[in-house]
Amino acid sequence: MKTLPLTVLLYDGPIARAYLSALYHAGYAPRRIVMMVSKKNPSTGKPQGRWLPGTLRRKWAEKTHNVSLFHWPRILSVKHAGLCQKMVDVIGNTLDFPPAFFESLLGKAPVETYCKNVDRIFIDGLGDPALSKTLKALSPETILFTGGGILPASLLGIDGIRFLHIHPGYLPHIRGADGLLWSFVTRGMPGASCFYMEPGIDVGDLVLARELPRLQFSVTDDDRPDDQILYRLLFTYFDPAIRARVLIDSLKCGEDLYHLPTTPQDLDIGMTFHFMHSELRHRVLTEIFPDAANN
Amino acid sequence: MTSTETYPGLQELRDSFPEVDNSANSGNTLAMIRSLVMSDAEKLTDSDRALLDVLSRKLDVAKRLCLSYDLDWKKPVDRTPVPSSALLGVAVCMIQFATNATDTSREQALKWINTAFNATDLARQYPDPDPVRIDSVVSYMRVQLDEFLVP
Repeated sequence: MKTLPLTVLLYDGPIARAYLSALYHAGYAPRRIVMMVSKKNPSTGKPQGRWLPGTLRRKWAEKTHNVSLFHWPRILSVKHAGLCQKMVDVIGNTLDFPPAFFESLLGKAPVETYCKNVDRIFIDGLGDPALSKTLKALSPETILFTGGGILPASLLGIDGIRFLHIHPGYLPHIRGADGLLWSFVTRGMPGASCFYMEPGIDVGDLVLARELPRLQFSVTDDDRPDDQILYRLLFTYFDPAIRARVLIDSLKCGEDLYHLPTTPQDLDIGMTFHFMHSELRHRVLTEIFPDAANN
Repeated sequence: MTSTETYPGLQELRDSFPEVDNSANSGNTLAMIRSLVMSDAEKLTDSDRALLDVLSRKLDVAKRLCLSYDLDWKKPVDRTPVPSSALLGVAVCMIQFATNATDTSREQALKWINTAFNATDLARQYPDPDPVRIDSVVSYMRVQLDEFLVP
């Protein structure tokens, strides 16, 4: 296992697990994971386990976070096992990930499976001074951002820290929310891009932008879940996998992850999209999950 | 673009558009929407496009549209929501510009269509919505969207 000069800032969930598992299956381990454990329940926003003493409270919060963020992936993998298996087969064959990669997206393995050096910090969001202090102590370092909110200026401005982010859209054309769906409907195929983060939405210098094969997962009318379930399935398997593929491909761009070759984005190209309305989303989901009778 | 069909209720929408203060300048939402409703869908100016961007941000992100904003269209000055008819005006403009305006990219068109649906959603949330009129606009928008998406 090759240790990469990279710290993963872990907001546990399918996307973060996809990165860790893809690194693992490619023979890499990050040199450190900084695992963010939220003081507030990610579902309810309420403070977690206030009646518990410090260490137990953090462990309780970590468990709650895991249960919350992997709730739907675990439910879907049981209730829609057939469609999940189809997605695993199609995505795995196309993007070259083994079945174990997709198992990992359910968040059952300890984080230490992917890296022995795990620091857990108990914080109240990305703006928590404890996080800033932790990251400052790592400078200079390249940090893989895995989500948890909008990265505040207090973190982006830390001297010597560069954040890598994988956006599920083909930059500079597709910025903003629901990148996977907007890529599909505007360009006919999914895409993802790796860049060093800067203030602004998806505007940093590009390490790699890739368009990926137009994958489809046919479903019979009788087995077709509603749009909300199909949307969740995309964010359980498809979105994490395309990001992970682009992460692994980006690592091939250079040895020094702090100074990977980049291209500035032409910000006159493309646009920033917002969350897709259910009317348009329904039509895109019908493209991604077509009726098996018509295929 | 795929369709040149005009929304059948456009003239009625124009006729019934709320009165606008003639002294209105930048920051007046109704004056902005009125200028779009009255404009020719095929001949969008850069200024029209900039206003449409403002409307997209307000309706897609803030999920509200106030009567007036500061000169940068950032902070609301008068937080009173625009009338429902103005929201439907925005929806019709967005969908017509998306499907008829020349020099409009597929990305831009789909973004406007998305905003159009958000505008009708917001109109439905008003205390006294006009469901018949909203349904009429939404039906028209669905047809336009489906035609637009035909390969």
